[in-house]
Amino acid sequence: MATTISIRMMFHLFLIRPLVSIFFGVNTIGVEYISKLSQFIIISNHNSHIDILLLFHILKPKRIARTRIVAAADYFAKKTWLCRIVTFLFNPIWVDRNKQSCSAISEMFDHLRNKGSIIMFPEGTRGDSDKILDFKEGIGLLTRKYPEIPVVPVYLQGPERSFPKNRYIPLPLLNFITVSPPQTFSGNKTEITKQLFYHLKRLADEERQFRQRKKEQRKNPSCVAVIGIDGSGKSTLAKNLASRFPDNCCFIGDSLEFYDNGIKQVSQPYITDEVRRWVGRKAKKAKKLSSYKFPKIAELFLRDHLLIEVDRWYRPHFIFQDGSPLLNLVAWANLYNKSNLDTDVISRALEIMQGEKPPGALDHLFKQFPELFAICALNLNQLRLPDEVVFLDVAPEVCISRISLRGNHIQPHENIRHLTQLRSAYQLVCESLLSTSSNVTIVDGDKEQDEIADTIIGYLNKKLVENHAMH
Amino acid sequence: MDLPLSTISVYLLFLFQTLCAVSTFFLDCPARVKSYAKHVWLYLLFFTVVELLSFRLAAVILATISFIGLREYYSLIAIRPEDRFGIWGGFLSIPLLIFTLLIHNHLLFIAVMPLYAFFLITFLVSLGGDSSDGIVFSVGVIGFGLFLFVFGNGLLGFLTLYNIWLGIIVLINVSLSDAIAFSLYSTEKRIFRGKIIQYLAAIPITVTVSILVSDWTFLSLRDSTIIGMAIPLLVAVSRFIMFHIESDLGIARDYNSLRRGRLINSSCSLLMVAPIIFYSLMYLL
Repeated sequence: MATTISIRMMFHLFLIRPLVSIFFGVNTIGVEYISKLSQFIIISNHNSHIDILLLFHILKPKRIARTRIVAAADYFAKKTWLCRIVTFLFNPIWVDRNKQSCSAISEMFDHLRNKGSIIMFPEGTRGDSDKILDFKEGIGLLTRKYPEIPVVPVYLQGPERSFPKNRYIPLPLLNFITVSPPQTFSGNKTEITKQLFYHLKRLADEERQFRQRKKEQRKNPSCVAVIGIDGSGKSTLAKNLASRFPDNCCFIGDSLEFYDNGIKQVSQPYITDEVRRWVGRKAKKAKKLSSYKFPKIAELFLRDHLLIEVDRWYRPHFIFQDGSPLLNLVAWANLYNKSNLDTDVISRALEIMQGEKPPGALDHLFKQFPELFAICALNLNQLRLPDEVVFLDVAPEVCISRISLRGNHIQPHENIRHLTQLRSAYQLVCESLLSTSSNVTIVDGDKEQDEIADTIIGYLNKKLVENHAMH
Repeated sequence: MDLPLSTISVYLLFLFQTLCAVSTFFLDCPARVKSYAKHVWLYLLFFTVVELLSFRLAAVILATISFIGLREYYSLIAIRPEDRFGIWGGFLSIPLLIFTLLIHNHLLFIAVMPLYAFFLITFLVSLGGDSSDGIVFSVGVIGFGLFLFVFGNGLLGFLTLYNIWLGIIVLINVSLSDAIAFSLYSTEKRIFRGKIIQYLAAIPITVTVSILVSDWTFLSLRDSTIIGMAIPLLVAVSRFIMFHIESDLGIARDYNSLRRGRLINSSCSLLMVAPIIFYSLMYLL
């Protein structure tokens, strides 16, 4: 036994340490905190296999033999040769993460009772770089049992770059070891575990800010489309949302407006927008449904192009749209086609219009949806699907009464029959979207506008927080 | 043993620098001075090994300096997981440096290195992974490290290969320029605060030193004067460039506390000046 310990020490002092120093380079801060201690529990973040080598690197030679590491038996058991090397060099306390067993914990208790020290990674596994996973409660259990033994949090920076998870060849890069002052805790195991987690996280946050970073990649603006039939109040709602949302927003509807935290901004005129509005006015003046069709399609494509221009020149965080070119086109196809479209056809049409799937030349879909063929032939099938869709569902009768109250020119489709047909088309579109994603909200349009806006803003904020947490 | 004066001077310089480097550990010197003294000692060790033992062994020292410098630089830059092959490519240029030094072929070195950075590194970075985002940035930063630590050290090695005193005079003049600039900066007198003034003040001294050793460098009086005048100016420009690079790498902020970027800070002037002096001597003067 004594011979094994001596050989192990020799290996550490004359082979592992020089190799680690030459190849990786080790910079330590606060190593004196460990040197002064006769017994300790080291906890550290875990991103790489070289974490173990680095932590043994900061130990005093006489502490090497008395320090054991907690290692995952289920991982190392896969390779016998690796298991033997690790056992010889580090004399680990094996923990099988797949079994509920107390033997490892009692082994740790025994080791600490015999004046030994322990190194453990409370995350339980190697995490992604720049991220500390939630701690397992084993460390809380040890600390509660032996409150007099100090816990030394150590933050390792560099191993996640030198030798990250799922890579087989390490890179010779410098590693930085930051040793925090020893900590003692009281309380139950969950509280202790939480306190240790936040301590290490704080240490990590302080250390990470020193590294040079590339500028964060700009995210595309989130596009929220409010859809619905004419007179449903979608334009008013979209504008209301843009003006009330606490961020840098843009509204694209009959007009183009920019808001910064609710304050309307002065914008430069966009030629695309001028042309779009002119074409839109022409469409509104149409007397027949057939003469309404082409100017409206042109207006929708220009509106989609405007999204790119607005993103490029203004860079808003949110774009609120009165309608969505993609969804409007698909819904309106239902109005113009005699054969009723179903959700499958709409799903296929949505995919083709976004350019996700190339259509076959003899696709039967083109018989049901002939405009699609022309759109694909002109290579215009690159429309953008909004990130969030709000469908304002209002009865056509209510809409007609609202339209007549406006006193404007009545458009050819603004009658009960066409609006009912359009409403069911929008419902089909929403159904089709809901089958693939959950980013559709159907709102009862009979409610007050402010009430609807509050609901949507609350929902979008919640979504944003979720997205942020996912990142 | 009848040693020529030039050889004795190399040994004396090394001895003097050893004393300086050791004394900085006992004196209350700023971290930058300690680090600079160590780095000059390392290069003088290289020159001494060339003079005392063999160029083959000295080439290993130069390769080690390149490795440590590259390791430090690549540790500080923002890399993507996909850049691992590219970074390995950066490190693997060091054996190429040794090979070209050992076969005494500077033409091969100066022809291959740009091609290596331009083509092979880009290929290796492209090979690294699925994501193409940030690939141009990665090729740029990896290539810069390669040119600074491998190309710079390589051309200093070739200068030494042709005449050891050419290498030494570059090191001495660069160190003198830095030392004078640092002393003037430390005086806190308003007149010396300008960077150009700090470095221009070194010109009389660097010109004198260059002329004094012209018998050993085999440079004419005119060429020695030009070299003596050019080096402080080049050092000033290098320091200006590296000031911005260091602040982006975060070296300026945590140099003293975390000891990051010490080799980059100490060797940047020398490694930027050496290639220019090499080309000037080879093709202009």
